[in-house]
Amino acid sequence: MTTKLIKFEFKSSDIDQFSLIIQKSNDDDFHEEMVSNPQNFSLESNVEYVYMLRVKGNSSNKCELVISGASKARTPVKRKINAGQNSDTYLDLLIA
Amino acid sequence: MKHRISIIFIISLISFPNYAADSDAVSLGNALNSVGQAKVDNITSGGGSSFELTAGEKDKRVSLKWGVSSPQSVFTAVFSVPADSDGNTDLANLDGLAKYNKVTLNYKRTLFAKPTVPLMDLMKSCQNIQKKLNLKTDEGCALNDLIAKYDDNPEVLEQLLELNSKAWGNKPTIFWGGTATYGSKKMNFLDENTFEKNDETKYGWSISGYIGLFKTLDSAWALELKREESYKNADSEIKCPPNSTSDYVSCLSGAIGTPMKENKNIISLHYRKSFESFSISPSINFDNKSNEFGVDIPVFLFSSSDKQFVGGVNLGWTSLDDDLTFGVFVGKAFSFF
Repeated sequence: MTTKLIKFEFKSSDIDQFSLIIQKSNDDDFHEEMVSNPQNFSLESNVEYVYMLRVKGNSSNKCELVISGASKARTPVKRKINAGQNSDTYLDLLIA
Repeated sequence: MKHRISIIFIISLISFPNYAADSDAVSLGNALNSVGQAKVDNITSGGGSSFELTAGEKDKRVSLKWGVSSPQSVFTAVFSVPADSDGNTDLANLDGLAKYNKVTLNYKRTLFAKPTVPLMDLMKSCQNIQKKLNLKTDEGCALNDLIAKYDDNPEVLEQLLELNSKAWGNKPTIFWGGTATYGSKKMNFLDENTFEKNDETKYGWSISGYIGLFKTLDSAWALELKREESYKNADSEIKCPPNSTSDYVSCLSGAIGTPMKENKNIISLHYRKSFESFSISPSINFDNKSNEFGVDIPVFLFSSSDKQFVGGVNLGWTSLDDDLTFGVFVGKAFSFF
């Protein structure tokens, strides 16, 4: 098993609070949470993970998440809180 | 009831580069600052660094707050010295260390509720909904976008809201923290036997723990338990020692005897609420050693160009002397960059 460091970084944001959780797709015992920005996670190479971004803020608040070091990941992830809402929930897969 | 009017000016004069500027942009500290950036002594104040001057009849202080933040935590150190030196022990609140030179460390952290199901189950459920709606499944699952798009489809909306509820754990966001304060004060008094002027430096401390929750982003509750040890002057008296060498009598006034230790167990309920055009940050305090109550109600009325509340009026009351104080505070906007 080889691991690699995957970097998660919020580049720009006016969001007040956020939570980012990473779990292994086939093993939900693996559970990591972002506690600093940026943060590197040691993930198994070529293994699929699912992450969830939850943010709280006000309508039209934006944030941009950049993931680097992964074999396959959508980046940057640009999110915006919809009108009339005060939170946003986003899930996606990545391959380390 | 005595009514006193005090005018409190809180002026945030300068700011310092934030140690964790990038992360502070998405932090618990920002959420708490949305109510108001002044009043650094409030446990629910946010992150960042500032210099603050407080001037008033009962509460004159100079404070320097230094803070660092991570996305879900805030650590601040507030260095504070009293600006008045008249030895007046008349306090505007129940804080026995209000007249001390002191440093207060405050750490707080927010806790998002964990999702109630594994993330992969959420992802698969979301993809199933996307497939039924003939949507792409390879662009992630933006739950709130789907909720906004299908809010006129009750069946789909119900499934999406259920997913969202599982993702958020269906609980309010909680934060917890603690403070530690250590301070000193040079206390003047008259010797109870010789009536000579004397002074002693006394030290005081307090520790507290608190837990709170954000019901919504713009309102927060917090309950704080504090243990405090400080010193207070004995009651002031006027003494006129007998004088056999002169026809005139010289009198002295001041606290008679050495300062007395005072322990407090203070329970406080804090609330912060931001409205469209103003915000409030009231607290109710109770000392179960002396059975005294205190109430502090800052109302932020004025905001800066970056929409931060920095000025307003302050109401305070303690049962200690049944004394109502009214004040105003003003501030200066500052930025982290």
